Amino acid sequence: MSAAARRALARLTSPTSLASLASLASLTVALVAGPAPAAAQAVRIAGSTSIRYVEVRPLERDSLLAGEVAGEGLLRQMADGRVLRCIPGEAFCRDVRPGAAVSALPVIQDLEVSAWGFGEGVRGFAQLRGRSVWSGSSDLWPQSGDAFDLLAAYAELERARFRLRAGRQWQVSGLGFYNFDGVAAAVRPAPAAWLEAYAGRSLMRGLNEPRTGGALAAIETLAPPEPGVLAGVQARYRPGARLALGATYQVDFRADGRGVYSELATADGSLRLGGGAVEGSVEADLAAGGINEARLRARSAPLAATVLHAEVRRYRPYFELWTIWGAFSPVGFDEARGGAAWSGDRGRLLVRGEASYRSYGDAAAADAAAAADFRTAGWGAGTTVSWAPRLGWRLEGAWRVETGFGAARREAHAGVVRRLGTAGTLAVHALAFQRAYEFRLEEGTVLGAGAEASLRLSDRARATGGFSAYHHPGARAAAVDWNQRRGHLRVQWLVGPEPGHGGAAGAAGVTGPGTAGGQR
Amino acid sequence: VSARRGWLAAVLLPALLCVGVLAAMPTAERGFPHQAHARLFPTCEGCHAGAVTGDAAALYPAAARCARCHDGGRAGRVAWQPPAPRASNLRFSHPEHREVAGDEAPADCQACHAIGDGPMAVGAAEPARCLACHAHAGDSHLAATVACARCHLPLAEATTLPAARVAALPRPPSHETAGFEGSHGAAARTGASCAVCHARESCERCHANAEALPEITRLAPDPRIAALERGRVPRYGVPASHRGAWGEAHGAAATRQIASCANCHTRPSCTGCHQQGEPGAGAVAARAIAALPLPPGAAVRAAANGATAVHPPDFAGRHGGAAASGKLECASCHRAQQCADCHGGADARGFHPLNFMERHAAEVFAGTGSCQSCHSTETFCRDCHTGAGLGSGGHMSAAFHTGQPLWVLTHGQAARIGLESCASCHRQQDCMQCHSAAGGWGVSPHGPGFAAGRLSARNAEACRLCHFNNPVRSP
Repeated sequence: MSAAARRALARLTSPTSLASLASLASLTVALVAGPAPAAAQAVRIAGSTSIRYVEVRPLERDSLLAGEVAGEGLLRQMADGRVLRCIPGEAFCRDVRPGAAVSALPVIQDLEVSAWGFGEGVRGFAQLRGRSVWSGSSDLWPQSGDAFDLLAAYAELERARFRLRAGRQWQVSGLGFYNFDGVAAAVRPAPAAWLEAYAGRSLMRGLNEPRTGGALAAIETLAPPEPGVLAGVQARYRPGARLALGATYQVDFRADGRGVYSELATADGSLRLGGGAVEGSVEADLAAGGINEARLRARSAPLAATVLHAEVRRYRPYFELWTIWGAFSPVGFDEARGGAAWSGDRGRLLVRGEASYRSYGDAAAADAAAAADFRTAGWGAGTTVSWAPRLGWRLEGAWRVETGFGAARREAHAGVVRRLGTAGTLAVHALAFQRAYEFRLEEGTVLGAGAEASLRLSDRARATGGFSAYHHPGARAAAVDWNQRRGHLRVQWLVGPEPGHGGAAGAAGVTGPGTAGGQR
Repeated sequence: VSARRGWLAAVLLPALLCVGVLAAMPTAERGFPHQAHARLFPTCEGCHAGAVTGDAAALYPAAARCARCHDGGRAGRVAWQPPAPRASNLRFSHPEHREVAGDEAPADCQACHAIGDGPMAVGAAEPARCLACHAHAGDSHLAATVACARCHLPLAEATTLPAARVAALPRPPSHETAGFEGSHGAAARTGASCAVCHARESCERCHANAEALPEITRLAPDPRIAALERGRVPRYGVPASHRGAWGEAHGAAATRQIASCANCHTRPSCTGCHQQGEPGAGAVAARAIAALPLPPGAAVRAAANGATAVHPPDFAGRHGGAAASGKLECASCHRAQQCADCHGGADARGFHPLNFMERHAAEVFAGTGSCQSCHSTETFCRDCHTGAGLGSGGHMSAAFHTGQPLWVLTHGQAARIGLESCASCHRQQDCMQCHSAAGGWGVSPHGPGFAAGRLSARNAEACRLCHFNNPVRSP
């Protein structure tokens, strides 16, 4: 690594977000333009710069004098649609309604650096993310106040029979994605088997920070008092082409040993039968006891160009033990889901349909009698059609309706996509939707339209962008005022060679030797 | 008859040779006053012996021969120098033309090189003179119907052509037609024209099976092409057949013509989904996949170009278990970045649809997206909800939940079923105002069958958030 790269890396922890973004850019330049690596070494860097325009109308609490609100009862509706809660004896009626529009321009810079050639199977890998808000409120985009994240940074030694990793890394299993600082060792005792053990300091999922870090304390007054230590084992076995099995046990315990934050286990399997497959998985909460989720899914293609699938599922919310929520006896639902996909016109027409039904568990709440009108079942249905009338054109349409506990939606979507060869794509779309959720009265249909474009800048760089606007008649009665606009611009690029393709030859440039006018 | 042949041989052949020699001379040499020297040089081969022998060095006379007369005395000195051999990929040989003419039709230099009347009125040959005998089959120089190799050498034999000239070779219009990437194979198999501009490295850039295709292996390697191709990323067009539900339909095609697949795909393209080289649907023979060439990386590039739609339509939302079990070799096609695009946190454009963040409530209630696979709902969600004004701040007015009268008194059932949603806006202390046994009203939130002992044994500290003392003795 060059001196410039080292300086840029050192500045990444700068307290200011703009400085961190600049440092990420400096690091990129230093790595790309720095001293050439040895002949067998190479560095590949993938970058993504994302700029968004977000416009939101945050909710605000408001009140009116009770005497100014016509009607009687606990809930009263104004002529303009506003619904206020009037508690008898109080001088004011209250509601929550959208405030003035505020906007922001969050910027996210991602870098993925992979370096190899330091010996057989030795590799270094890092995944970095810088954030900033160029304009507007930093509250409108998740974690915008966190200027820099090191999502992953590890050294790896991989050979035919084993793999070692040390550093910040992701652990992927049937339990989902977990990020931790530690070590992982995996062995392949047989070609069909994979065993892995891992341990290290656990990080909050989605926040990529230690449990005792400031990010969590800012949003939760009862944050975990101690760091967590994550440890687990994972096994996979594929005895043949038709069967795959996997199992994972994972515990996240307090560093002081006075309890666990979570203790989970999962098992999953897949069996291929003829032209179809059966897949199943189960996830258990060993700390609280019980099954979090169990799925059984079957897929078959009994007819040409037709695929059928069906699924049954049991789900129960799961909470880590540093919170009180797990002690609130959460209940879940059982669900059945089925659908079909058919393609015709030599594959240019694709039609999909799906429907689902679910039944919620008995909450056995003391106030259940008073809440007897709560929905105890939900259902959903939807269909999607995609048609490519000619090369480079695709028409899409979708419709979906869903009603469940606490929420409902109905929406339709249509779009046209024009593929400009390898140069990119252009797309326009329009949509309409109705939503009601959070046990709140809602009115109005939201209409939206937008356009997106994707442009190939070179063989290894691409830019995408788009803009959309929404119109929401009757927004005054709604919690979320959808008279909003959105925009985004993203540039993705890749420099450096693919492993096994020319070593470091292409590391210094985005493209190869000049191609002007040549036919070779 | 023999006297007539002798006359032809004595007169026409030298003349033909002269024209041929002059045809090879660069334009700058046209100024040589041939006619002024007509009486000195009765035959063409006297100065241009190389036109007869094929010796390039003898194609022009040495400069010293001029000085025999132009010595400053008999005649003034001149600075004429023979031109350097011209770099060209033209297929032309003076001796061959002489042999073709033979005794029956002796070659006549002037037939190609004459620029006027008289035996020494010669100059460089124009291409039109070539076409007088060699009819051009196309309506333009680069027409697809033309056999390029008739006039042009294979690139590997045109060693005098510098790399810059090779890079600047014109691109025929036929190569610009739609679908050329997928249809050029037939032409490559039947014609030799490819070799005029291409070498083996030209094909190896994209063809993963280059070593197995005779139309490629018969092309000679060329260091100039190799240098130009080095580092260039292969570009794969998407065949029309690969659109739509190709993921489900490709099995039959692969069984029928696996060799065709190998033009772009390598074994990892198949084994990425079909375990251990065998197919999921039983359509493709394992040995056919195993026969695919295995250069590293090609499958990665094909996937990155979006050349195939391998996964079923709803795969994005349901691949977690498959990826976790190792059933799929994700890494054979996908880079880790592609996972992070969706699973790295807030900027998850690849996984969630556009503006999902503002429209996700119904999906969360439905639980279809398995949010907890990536997010901690009690922290990640609340972080954003607070910014959008959804954070509760401990208010008890329940003014937000207008869909249910007496919400505070009747929310129990809703809370137990949708507790993840509650936790995405409310802090623990909001609930503890009523439910804490220590600082609240002592309303028990525990449902029937609550495993107090089990939880206490796992983390007694959590119990103390609401209870002064651990109400359960650890078993």
